[in-house]
Amino acid sequence: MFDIRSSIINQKKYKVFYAIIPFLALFIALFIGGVLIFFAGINPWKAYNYMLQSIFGNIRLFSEVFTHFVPLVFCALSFAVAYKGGFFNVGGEGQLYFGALTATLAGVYIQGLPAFIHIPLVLLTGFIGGAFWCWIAGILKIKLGADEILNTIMLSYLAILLINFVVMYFLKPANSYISQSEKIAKSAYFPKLIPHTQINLGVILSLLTVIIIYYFLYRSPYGYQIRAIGENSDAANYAGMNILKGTMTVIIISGGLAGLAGASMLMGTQYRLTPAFSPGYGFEGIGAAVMARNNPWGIILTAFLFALLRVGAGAMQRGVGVPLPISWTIEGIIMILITGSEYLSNKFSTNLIGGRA
Amino acid sequence: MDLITIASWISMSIRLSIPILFAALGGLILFKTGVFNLGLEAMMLTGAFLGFYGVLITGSPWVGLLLAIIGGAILGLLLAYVTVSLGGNQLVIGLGMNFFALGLTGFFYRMLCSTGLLTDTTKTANFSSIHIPFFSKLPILGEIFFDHNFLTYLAILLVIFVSWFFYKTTYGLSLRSVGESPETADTAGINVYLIRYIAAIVSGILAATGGAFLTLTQVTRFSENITDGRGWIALAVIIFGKYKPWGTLWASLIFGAGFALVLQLQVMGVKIPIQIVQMLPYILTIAALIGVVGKVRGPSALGKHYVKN
Repeated sequence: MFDIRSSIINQKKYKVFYAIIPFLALFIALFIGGVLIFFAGINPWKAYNYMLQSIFGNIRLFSEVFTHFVPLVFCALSFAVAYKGGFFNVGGEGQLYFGALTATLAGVYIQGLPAFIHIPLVLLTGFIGGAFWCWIAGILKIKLGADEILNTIMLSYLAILLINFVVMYFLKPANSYISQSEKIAKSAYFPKLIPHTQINLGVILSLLTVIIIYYFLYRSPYGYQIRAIGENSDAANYAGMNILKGTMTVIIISGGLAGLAGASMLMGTQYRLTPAFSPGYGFEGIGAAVMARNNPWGIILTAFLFALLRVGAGAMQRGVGVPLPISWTIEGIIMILITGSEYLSNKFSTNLIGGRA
Repeated sequence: MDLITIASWISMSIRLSIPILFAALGGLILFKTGVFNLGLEAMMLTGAFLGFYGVLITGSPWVGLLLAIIGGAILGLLLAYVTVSLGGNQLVIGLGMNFFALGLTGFFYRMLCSTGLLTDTTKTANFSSIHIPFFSKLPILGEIFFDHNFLTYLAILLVIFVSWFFYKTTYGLSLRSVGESPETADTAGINVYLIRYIAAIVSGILAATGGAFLTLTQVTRFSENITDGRGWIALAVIIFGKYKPWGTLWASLIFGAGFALVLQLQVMGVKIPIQIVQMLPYILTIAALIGVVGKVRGPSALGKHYVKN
């Protein structure tokens, strides 16, 4: 006999367990990281302690966390939105670069605007740049049948080389030896929220975007359609939804968000375009999205965690001599563990009524 | 360009394409069973580091190669376990492995440097060229074709072997059927999981060998992220080579020739935008993806998790 009460209790238990998995993964990854630190001849407990103390005891280091946090949030959202809509966008890194390029053009060559016009303008061009690069991937998939996983990766590397080329041959000032663009106009700089720190307008914008994306995906009828397409495009088609339009919307938003990552880096911290503009936020953002299981709220936590690890690894290197790549290692282990635990969450969600967690 | 320059260009093209060819062949074998391998970069990097570590500690490049193979096999096994047994996302696991390998090899490399085991002047042994008697003495042709290390010849032989295996043996047929329709293969009594496991391990071994080629024959020195995107180029090679063993050989030679050309022109002081040439593999691959060079069709079951009933 079907016992509705125990089924509800089970549901709750599953939901708790489902939510615990990322924390468990973090714990295991930190533990393995600790073993590595131990092999390096350093007391892991001391190292982690030092990391937390230096970040939370030093406003400069703490504010540095946000320079990574902002692009990571945008990149993670970019991946998550596409994923929910059934488009696997691995090319966030290239879209970030392309968004940064268009934003640089609008920031350097448009001068004399007041900040309240210039800032939105540069953000918009960044969005358009990223969206454009992702749109190409979408067209290649929809019109020409090129698998998006492969073509977003290829387009990503293409974009990085292209920007490299454009910076070296077109954006570099004639009298400069260093391959970098000019600085964008002061009117396009993000205002700082706390003076002399890296905490700027980008932090608010990224959090605002999380809220917007959440409401778009989960509270708007359009977001519902997109998720329906992502879960089962045949069923969505049968229900009379316009698959093509929905997928294209997802592609534009996803690319645009990655472009915003590039624009926000440019306007908040870098101020100029360089060949090695992004240290891999596009890929790391995928990690943050995966760990958050593509939930916008979760992305705030995971992006913060990844940013913390990056800054923390730097602090541990300077303070106690832990090799810097420890942060990549921990992030990699988290991603592997989360991927490996997918079957657990699938098992839970099929046990839930309606099959949705 | 005179004849000698052209000869050294071709010779360099071969040297640059072999690591990519190894990884591409490894990737191809797993792709053919229907499983994505986005961890090629991780496997190459691990192979490059372990190869270097082995030769640094023991002085023998053979030990280095052995360590690389073991490391690659372990990563392959991990990939298979997470995707085949646990049904995890085949793409995300690859990306995660890339982070993991980048971090771990960098971590240990810096440890080697800080403990003083490795200094700026450290020189390690490597696989030297095999001078094939008589042929290597031939003018021009000798340098181009008969003066490489054994891994280069091995890679070419592997292409022939894999091609024969895929299309002329029943095991090869089973492997391809798993990638096309695992359900049918299962019904026919083929162990889908076992084939995917073996393919993943072989994939890891080959990609790691490609990585070890970098530190055991060319630069004989590891540096962080030494593979520098070669794993992704290998992915491009698989597609541009239309998922065929001989195709991967030609594709990696074409891409290798492009990279060699860049180096050659730089040495000669010709100022051309190198990025344009570097972009070529990606442009060609996208062209292949949209069918410009004829229909490119991957295995039907690629990327789909198979649950045995």
